[in-house]
Amino acid sequence: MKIAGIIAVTIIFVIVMLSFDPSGSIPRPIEQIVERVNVPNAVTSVYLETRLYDTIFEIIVFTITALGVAALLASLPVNIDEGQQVFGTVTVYSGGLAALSITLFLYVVINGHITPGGGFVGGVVLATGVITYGLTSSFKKASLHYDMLKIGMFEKISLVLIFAFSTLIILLPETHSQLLSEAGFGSTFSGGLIPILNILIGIKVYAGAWKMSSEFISRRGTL
Amino acid sequence: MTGTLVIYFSILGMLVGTIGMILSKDLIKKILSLGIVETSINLMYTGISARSGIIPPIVSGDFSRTTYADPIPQAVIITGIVISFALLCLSLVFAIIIYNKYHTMNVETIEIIFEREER
Amino acid sequence: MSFVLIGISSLYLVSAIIVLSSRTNFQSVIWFGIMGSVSAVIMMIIGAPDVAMTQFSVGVALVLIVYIMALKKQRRVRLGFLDVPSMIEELPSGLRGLEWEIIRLVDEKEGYHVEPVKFSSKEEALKAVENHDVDLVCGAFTEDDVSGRTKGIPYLETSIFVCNGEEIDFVRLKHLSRNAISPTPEFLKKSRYVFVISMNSPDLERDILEGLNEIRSSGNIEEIVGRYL
Repeated sequence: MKIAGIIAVTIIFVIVMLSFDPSGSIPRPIEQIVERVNVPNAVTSVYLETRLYDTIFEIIVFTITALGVAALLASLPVNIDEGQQVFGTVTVYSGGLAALSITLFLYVVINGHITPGGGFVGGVVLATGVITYGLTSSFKKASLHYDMLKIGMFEKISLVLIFAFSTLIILLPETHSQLLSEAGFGSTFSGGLIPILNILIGIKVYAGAWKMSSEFISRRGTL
Repeated sequence: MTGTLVIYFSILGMLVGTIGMILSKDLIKKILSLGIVETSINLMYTGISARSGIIPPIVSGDFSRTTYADPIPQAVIITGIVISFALLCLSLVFAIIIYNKYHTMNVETIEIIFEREER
Repeated sequence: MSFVLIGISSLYLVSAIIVLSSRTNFQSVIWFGIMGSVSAVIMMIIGAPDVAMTQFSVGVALVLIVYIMALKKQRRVRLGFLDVPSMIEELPSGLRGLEWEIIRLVDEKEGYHVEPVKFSSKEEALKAVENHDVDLVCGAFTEDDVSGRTKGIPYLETSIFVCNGEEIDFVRLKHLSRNAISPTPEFLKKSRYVFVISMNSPDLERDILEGLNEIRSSGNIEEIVGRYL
């Protein structure tokens, strides 16, 4: 039974590989995109201006998955923080590296329309930095910042603002194109609403990734 | 030329991942094979984007070179990577819950227990 | 350019095959991280820096953390013991004895963390197991001590003698006869030494049985017995 499945899958993939025709017409849409959006980074202008629907639904899927993980793991007991093994030298360095990752997050997110980067990358970089700081020093100290800085409230505010700004961009394209062509090409203040959307997406992705990973770590115990 | 090569290798990677999903008996290995398939799909999309050229699509004002890479598949696959990570987290939560209840990760044992519980 | 690309892509395929054919789950996860890094390098060469950054941070770093948190077994085993010389006894340099060796070997294989708790009498230890104060009790218990809500995992054959009107087992008899001269004991019946665990911990029981079978099949148990008895 399994062997029949394997043979069938192999035949299907071989047929796909043989019928792939590499001599089709090659698209080059980058001139039109950069002229329309007036922003150096073509990838950011694609997922924040011309294909905004994909981004909206991705945010919705991410929110629902983070909710699902938090709700399903709520039935496991929280591990009492006893004996997290840390090394002294690593503890000293990890605080500095966490501060460095916050700076990197701000740079990548705010300059997302000039250099490679954007909202998604920045959020995940910050989440990785804070989790690594928590695993090498005390995890309790790292998980206190969620309540102290009221990140839950900021996450919900940013979700509402993302929906508001995207509706503005989709329904009123002339206003946004006027905003886009005001500042110079390649300056930090160009791009209209695009840097603001990048910052909000960065906050949202960071909060979601932090919630998912910290639920895992706090219920299963640190290393 | 480079784009076509990467597309062929990524289709082979998808084949390896699918065979791994069929053949493995451990729940964690099945989820890992799904991760292999998803990584190969991401690679295939960047291969499609590289057919128009291999210069990164960050324009600095002039279009003197006409072989920039295609930005549209890259934008689509960035959101895909984050969604696949969220899906992986959810599958691992289910695997943990199954392990806590039945104390085994073997797929055949879990099937036998399910059949016995239905009766 | 094509040669470099063919080389790195075949590295990607080879690590994908090694993920599937690793023996333990931990090795598979580490090779999965290597595969993700190689794919990010391919994406960088191809000319997609955004995608490469996202793949590095999500597909390698966060995924590794989440998998290792899901795979680790974080159980401690509270081990109650009676002081029986050459079975398990407490010396200033730590615990020593036959049962301590066996339990330590089994638990290292499974990744448990053992915490020893000392008891002074058999009834106290058995009551603690029934109340779930400790998980496992050892110290030359035989199959007669197992009753009610406890279960015994046998690991060694022995015999029970009658001496001065009470039943003692082989090791205690040897210890007595080393210290004092006692009348000749009478052989009563054959029995087995057991580890006592409570009825409601099937995964602990299964792990100890698997570990014992492994030790038995690799022949270590005769060597350990010969060293201590």
